[in-house]
Amino acid sequence: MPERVAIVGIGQTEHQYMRPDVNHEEMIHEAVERALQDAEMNIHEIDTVLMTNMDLFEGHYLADAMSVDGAGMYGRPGFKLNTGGTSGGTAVAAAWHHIASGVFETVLVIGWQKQDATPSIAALATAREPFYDRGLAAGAVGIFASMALQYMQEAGCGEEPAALARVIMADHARRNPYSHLKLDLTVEDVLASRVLVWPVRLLHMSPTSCGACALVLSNEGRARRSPKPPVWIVDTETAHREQSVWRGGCVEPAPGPTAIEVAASRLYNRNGIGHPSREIDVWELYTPSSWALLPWMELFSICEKGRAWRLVEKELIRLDGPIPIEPSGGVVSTNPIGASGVIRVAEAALQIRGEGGERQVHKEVRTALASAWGACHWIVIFLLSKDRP
Amino acid sequence: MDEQLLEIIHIMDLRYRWSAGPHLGEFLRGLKAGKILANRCPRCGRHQLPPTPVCGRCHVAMGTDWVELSPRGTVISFSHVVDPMYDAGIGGMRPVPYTLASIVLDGASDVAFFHRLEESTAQRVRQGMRVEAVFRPPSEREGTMEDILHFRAIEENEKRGGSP
Repeated sequence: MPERVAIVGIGQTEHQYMRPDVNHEEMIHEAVERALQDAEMNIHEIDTVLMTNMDLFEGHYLADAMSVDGAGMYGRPGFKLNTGGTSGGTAVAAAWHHIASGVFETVLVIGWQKQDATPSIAALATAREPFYDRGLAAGAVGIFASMALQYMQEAGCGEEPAALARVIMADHARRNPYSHLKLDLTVEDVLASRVLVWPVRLLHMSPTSCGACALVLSNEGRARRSPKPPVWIVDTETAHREQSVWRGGCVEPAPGPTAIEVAASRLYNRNGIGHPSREIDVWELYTPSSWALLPWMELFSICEKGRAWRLVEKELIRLDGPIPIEPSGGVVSTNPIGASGVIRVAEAALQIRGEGGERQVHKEVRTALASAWGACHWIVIFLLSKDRP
Repeated sequence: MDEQLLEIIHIMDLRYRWSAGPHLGEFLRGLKAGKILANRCPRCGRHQLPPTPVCGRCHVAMGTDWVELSPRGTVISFSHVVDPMYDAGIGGMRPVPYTLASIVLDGASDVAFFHRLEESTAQRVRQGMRVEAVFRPPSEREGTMEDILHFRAIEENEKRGGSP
């Protein structure tokens, strides 16, 4: 029986396009201090620190070495890790394993990115195999374009539902003081923004942001002394097709279960979840494009195949709806990539605490699902609960 | 049969923009003014060089307790560099030879400073040698580590303030 794992501290920066006022250590420190204050803990009560960012985005090898003091890593074990866009999720999963194993009582987990340092896409492009497809790869926008086109064809929907999903996420983001973009959008605005790769338009995509997010996780014994009610990370699951990165983005041409379906079904089965949309009260899905939301709602079994766009059309995913999704405003509003996976878990936990402020979903939140998604279809998902598992 | 092994040469041209932030920024402004500034932990009192936002040991925010360190100090270790090395700062090979030294500046024995030695100093350097920072003329300083030209050997009875 693994140790139970709780979130006892949450902190994040106000995410922005540029942070010329701080270096990355100072930016990380802002989130770390807020998480420790939230947990009413000092750094000496932290057993280990795990950190994540996207490698090379800031042009540093060993970026963690330049932020040891600000991150609170001085004199404690820990490491930096990277799994691409999913990094923040992987870091929280690693922290979960550190505590579940019984070896560590408390873990500080930090995700951050400072994208004002360099064009991030240049670092991303180095992931492609130089002989095979580096000259062909279309980057993230292309992935969502093909996802969107396939969805339009299979579900028979037009452009409006993804645009409306973006408007709803913007409405949520405007209520979130930490959000980078706080846009006031209409469906017409989204549809008037320029096409990047058909049918993905500029406003469908996430921004490049600077920011950090830190969580304090603890075991049950330590969580009992927590000033705020602990939010339990009941379970976590990871699936990916990392080998696809050098095969033109595909592992094999035949349609098979996606990584999201694999991870979600494992998580649901282990936890006896038969009706996800009824049993999970709020969703933070790491949708880097509002086009991703439609297929993903179906892959996560929130609804049947081909139905997601109709649920969006009825605006059921709003804060006051029965299936609230991306209450934070989502990755399309805020994307300091290494932090983004941590922010999803942080937001899910804030919603369970009832600390969502103006963006708090209206119904009672006892359970939440948070995910992080990235290249190679890498997905990490978390089931969070107010009730001790 | 021609069995050539294939390879690809790929050159990436990237532009980086790093923010110094308030702490390193204050240090760099100090160099421009001809000073070596450290900050000090308000709890344990130790110096931080380069200055950081937090004392790693105490994890308290470094206050505004800035200390101007002496430009004079003692060499604790050094290295003669003769083999060219790739310099990520200039995107090419750094000219050789040069000599690097770790120097404990007077008044702050808990941190070491790291810079080049002047050529004739480098030729007779030893551990324990007394050295002094030589700043570039004010008009040439840009708020970078290059505002210090190098460190040169001094005699203890020599007056402060060398020229390049």
